[in-house]
Amino acid sequence: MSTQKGKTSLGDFDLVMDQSPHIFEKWSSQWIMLQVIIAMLFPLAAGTYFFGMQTLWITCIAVLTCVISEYVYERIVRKRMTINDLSAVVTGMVIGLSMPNGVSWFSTVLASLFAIVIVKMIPGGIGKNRFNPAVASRIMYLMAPWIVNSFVQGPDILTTASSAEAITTATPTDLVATATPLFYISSGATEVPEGAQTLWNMFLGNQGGWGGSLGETSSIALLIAMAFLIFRRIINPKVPALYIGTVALIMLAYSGFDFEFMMYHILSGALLLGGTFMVTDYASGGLTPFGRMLFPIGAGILTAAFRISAFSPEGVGFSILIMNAIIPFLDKLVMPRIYGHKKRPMVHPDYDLTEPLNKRDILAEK
Amino acid sequence: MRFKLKYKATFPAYNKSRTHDKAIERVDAPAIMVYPMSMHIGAPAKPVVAVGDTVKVGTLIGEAQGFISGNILSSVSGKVISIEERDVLNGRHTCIIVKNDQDYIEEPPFPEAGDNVSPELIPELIKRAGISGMGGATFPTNVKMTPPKGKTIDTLILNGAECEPYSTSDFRTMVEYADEIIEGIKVIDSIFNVGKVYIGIEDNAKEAGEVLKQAASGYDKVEIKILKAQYPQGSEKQLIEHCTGRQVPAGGLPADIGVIVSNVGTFQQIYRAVRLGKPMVERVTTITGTPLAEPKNLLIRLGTPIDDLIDICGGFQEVPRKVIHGGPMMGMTIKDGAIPISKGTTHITFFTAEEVAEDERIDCIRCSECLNVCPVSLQPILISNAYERGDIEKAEQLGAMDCIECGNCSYICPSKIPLLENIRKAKAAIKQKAV
Repeated sequence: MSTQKGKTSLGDFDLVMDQSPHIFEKWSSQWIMLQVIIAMLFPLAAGTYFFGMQTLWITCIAVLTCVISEYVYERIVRKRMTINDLSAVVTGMVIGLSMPNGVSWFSTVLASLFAIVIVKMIPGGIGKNRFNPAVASRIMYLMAPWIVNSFVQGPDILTTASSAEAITTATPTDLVATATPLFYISSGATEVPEGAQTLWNMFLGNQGGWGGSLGETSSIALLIAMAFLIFRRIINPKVPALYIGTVALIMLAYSGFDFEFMMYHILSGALLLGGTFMVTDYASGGLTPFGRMLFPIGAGILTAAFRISAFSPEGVGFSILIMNAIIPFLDKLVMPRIYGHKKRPMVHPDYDLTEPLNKRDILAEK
Repeated sequence: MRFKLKYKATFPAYNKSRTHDKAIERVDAPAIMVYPMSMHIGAPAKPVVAVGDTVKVGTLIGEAQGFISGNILSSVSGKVISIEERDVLNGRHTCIIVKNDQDYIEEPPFPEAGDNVSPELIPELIKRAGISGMGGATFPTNVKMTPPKGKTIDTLILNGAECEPYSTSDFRTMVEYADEIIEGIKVIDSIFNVGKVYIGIEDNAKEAGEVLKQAASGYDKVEIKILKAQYPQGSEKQLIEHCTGRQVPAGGLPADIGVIVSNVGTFQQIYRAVRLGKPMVERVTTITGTPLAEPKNLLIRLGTPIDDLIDICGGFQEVPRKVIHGGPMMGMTIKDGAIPISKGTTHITFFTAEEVAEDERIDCIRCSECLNVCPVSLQPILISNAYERGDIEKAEQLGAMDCIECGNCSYICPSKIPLLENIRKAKAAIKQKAV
């Protein structure tokens, strides 16, 4: 039309057309996973300092097994390759940090395979696993000798092969927690007995070769990791606060307001490790804002219950798995009320909240 | 410092600094002007001129059709050279093409206009002046100012919360036309005699608040409400909630809770129409983005093709790859430089190739950030999942129709899932089903 000489016109340029929004937050799922990996370097370093190179070694084995098994699984079932999202590395690191002092490489590999193949990939991969893979494998590791013993008579293979180092062939009650500080205060105790570790040592992690699994020995390292994740906007600060706070409150009330007893519970066992890396897990935690709060509160109540009752070890792991199982139902009850509406939206309890594997586009189909 | 909490908002880079302090510049209209009959939301206007007719500034060239519609007026004087179908912003519509004679001969002002216009006549003058909401949605202002019978309006909210990144047109309008905006409020106040007037401004535009406060001194109903700079602060429903604490009921109108919201620039036009008898023939638009050598705030005659504004802004210093009518959160991409500045053109944003994101979608990691940022508390990922599962009914149950399409969910998603695109498709499928 009005084409003067030298006039700039949009027609002279190759322009793209698409839908809004046209800008995006500068982050990615991969970046989020990387932040979690960085946070885990703190407890990893502390574990290496207190337990020696085995911590690093075991964590590397767990990470490698997780990544390779996810790769192989996706090649076999011809699924889109997802190892670049780094989530398998995160799972591997949590498994490594969850392993007890003196664990063998073989049990680490088995635990990692179980986490990735059975817990994560078979339900559909990242975001579709109901259970936290690392926590499930931690529990599996604990239960394996007991399960095998229930079916196989005579000398058991798995205990000898995998976990004889840390686990006695006796009952599951004294498996991982044997000789950890938590041992002193669980199973009905209402005060810290003589001979237990000092709170200061538990805070630093200097527990004389005790102190549960490789990654949970140093409270300060875990608190640094937690702060890092909170300030990087990866985890909601309310989630660990509600989890640890719930356990602390119950323990305080249970012991008749014994502050030392409460602190002992906060600093011992997997509470801080769980509060930082397990209850905060995206895929197996709550989705709705309210559900995300219910998850740590429920897990906190269960953890306290496990610790108070005789069945004390792995209270953290069991409570998280139980919450993993029921949180999808809780989420459906507490879906957020939409602006301008009086009631919450409701869906049937059976409704599947996960991303569908086979995606449809109804409009295009018509 | 922000945490992973439910803010019901996002905090995109605002990128307003390049035009924040640039005074509004009036620009000459080009030789050829384009007037789509769809410059407002609702029914397109009907051309009432013929090829060869002579028009003046303010001559009615397209007449409102039906209840929700608006008049189209010529913004230049000259001759109608063509009436044709063209692809414009919101589809293919009739456009009147006027050859500008550069004389700017004006129609006489509306004879009824003045300082004492009766309240009943005000919406009529607004309609005659062709005023539509200037914040982007272009809802006909006369309709908005005529709420359904039985609704009492007790609160007036001026939307100065310019939350779209890059835009500074409302900010400059508030700074430079504060007096006219306050006079516009008085016009509307004479209809409703409201109890309270809020002017919502984001905290990155406090200077405008100071100027408006000065202009409104002695007019005690007016309260300048400084709001957090967050997206979508300027969305009607969110602005009402943040100013008054009230929520518009689902499927309802602001008038249902006694509120009318309109853009600050619209009030300036109301003043000019009702007190001075002048039609809406120009608006302030920010022309901005990295590719432009000199981004500017311009006072542009409606109907000026976008191509005619590029050289005024110094031409391109970098090759553009995307041109957005509006801002990057809700704007629509355009390719055709003949598309004109319309009543709702707050800004035109140009992007370079580097600024055009092309990230691959990966699986949802259930970070739940889309739930955290949704201003209406939807669960975008669940609606998207329902659509992709082919379950339209579930998408509807989960509130797809309540989506205000602000784009926050797609903006925040670390897995780059096209959440808003899927919600839009779900809405379209729900509407098809209802027909």
